[in-house]
Amino acid sequence: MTLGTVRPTTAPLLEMDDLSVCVEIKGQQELALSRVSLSINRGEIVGIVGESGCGKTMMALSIMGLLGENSKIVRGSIRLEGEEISSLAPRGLRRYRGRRMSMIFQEPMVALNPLMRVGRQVKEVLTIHRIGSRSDRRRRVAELFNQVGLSGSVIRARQYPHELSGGMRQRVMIAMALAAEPALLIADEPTTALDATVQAQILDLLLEIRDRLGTSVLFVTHDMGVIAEVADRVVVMYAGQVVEVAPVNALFARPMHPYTGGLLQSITGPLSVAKGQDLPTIPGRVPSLGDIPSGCPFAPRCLAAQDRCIEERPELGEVEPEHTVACWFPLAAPVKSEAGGSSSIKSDAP
Amino acid sequence: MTIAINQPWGPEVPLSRAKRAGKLRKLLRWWPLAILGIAAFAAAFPYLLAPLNPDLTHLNARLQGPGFRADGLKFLLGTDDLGRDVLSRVIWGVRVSVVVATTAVFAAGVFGGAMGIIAGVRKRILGPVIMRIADMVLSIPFFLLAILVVAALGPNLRNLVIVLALVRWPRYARVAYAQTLEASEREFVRAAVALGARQLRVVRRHILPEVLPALVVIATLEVGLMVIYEAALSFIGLGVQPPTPSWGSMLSTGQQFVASAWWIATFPGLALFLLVVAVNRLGDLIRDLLDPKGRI
Repeated sequence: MTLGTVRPTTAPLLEMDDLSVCVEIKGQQELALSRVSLSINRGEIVGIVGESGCGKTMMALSIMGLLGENSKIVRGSIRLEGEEISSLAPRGLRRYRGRRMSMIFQEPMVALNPLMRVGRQVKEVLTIHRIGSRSDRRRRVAELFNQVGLSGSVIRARQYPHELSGGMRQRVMIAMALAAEPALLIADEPTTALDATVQAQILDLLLEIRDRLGTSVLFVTHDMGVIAEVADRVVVMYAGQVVEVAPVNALFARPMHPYTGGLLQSITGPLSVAKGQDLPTIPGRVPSLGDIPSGCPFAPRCLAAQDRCIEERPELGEVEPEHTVACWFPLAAPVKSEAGGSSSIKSDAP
Repeated sequence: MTIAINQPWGPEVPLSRAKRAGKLRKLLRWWPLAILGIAAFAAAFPYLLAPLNPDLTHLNARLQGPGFRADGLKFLLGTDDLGRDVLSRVIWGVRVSVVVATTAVFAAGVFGGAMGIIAGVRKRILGPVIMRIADMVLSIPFFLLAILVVAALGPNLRNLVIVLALVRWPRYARVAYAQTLEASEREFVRAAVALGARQLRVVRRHILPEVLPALVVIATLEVGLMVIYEAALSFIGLGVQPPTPSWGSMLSTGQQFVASAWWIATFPGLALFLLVVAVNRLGDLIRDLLDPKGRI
């Protein structure tokens, strides 16, 4: 098999529309994702950020159809290359997994089978999707190892996961995910478990893969610094909802949602905080599934919250081209140290 | 006294006496292998070891004690009530014990293991059904089930194996079930699913290798029990039928003569004891190797 031919369309590769996912907790149905919409174009890297428990991973898993038995999609649709995949049975979904979309996980330490040589694990993916003949597969594995920057691919392929470092293992995972040349790669915190230097290498690798193969990447992380490095467009999530979507430059220059502003302020760096000063944080924490407020979910933690925020839930609305935010009182200017200074610009959303 | 430590950069220090003794002790831990080797040899070639025909009766030499000589024959361990050589019968009796125990363990292990894995993968309906059946089997008294099966099928070697496998498969099923559930939660299993692997492949490539060591450990510990169960069934007449020599039936005969001819029951009993101890000890050693953390 050669590269999947890229269809000459401008339609997004992945369209998620109005998706809601319910999780059953102690017999109660709780909404974990609430009316989430998202689109990813071909060759685009979309970053999803948010604190732990805001639904980032849930979103990735629902695209892959890997939601646990206690969760299910209750509303909305997911289309990959125009085909509806949210309602497919496992049998039908299997043809998409690995082949047209694949996923790399957070912990390369545990995502590889410790009893199997890594080359074999990459070859498995080719076997699963019946790609090439036996000798083709062996050659392709070596090629993939080179592609993800594992030098000495022949020796590497014969090693077991415990013989490799964390970064190398993550490279093997990426090789597995890319083996069948998927159009979409979902990366769920792929660098969180790695050292800072290794993290930078893996990010470079993902960028290189996008440039070379035109693979779209959905990059899930809680690290704003990582987002700044790789993403073209950023989706900020909070409590199971999308609160802001913007191209990466616009988001960092003009965050509109107070939550985004808070996230940006909490980035650590050598110059971010004066000596002796506390690192700015967002007070409180993400509401747990049962008690997401009925108004704006961020209102209880928001310094600029007003009565309307508590009573009515804001919808996503465009404040400037390609920049949407779900907030009644979006921030206007680049954030200053007084987070959430209320703005005069109002969203044109209802 | 100074303590010599072997260091790679230091001068070569000869192995101390204590260290050599430690090595020897380590080697001696594997004594069960010697006994099992003899048992396996006796099971394979009893005619090479047994001095006499085990089924041949010597009516003029009935119930004679160990070391009895008659007609130029020597009965090293005495004779039974029909004048058969006890030593030869003990040697031939290994065959039944070894064959029944190993095939029963194999049958129960394969069936139980498969059931457990299926139950662990099909969590909704089939799994609970299998595991409840396993619970039910465990709650039926062993001898009751044995009598039922033998009554229905007739007493012979094959049915003996069937009975033992039928009684013991739930143990393997439970272990396989638990290991399968544990393995399915592993991240690499989820990764395999995310890359498009179908269930059968996931089981074969990722779950089976996790389950198998546990099953091997259980199996080695079960062999000794199977030897005893076989003897027990033969003892009450549900196992191997006469004149085939089996330790259980020899014990049963010897029991009638314990007061007058102690050797008839004593020697098969000793052989049974030795074999079971050796098997169990070996099972422990294998478990230490395969399951050093003692999870099973």
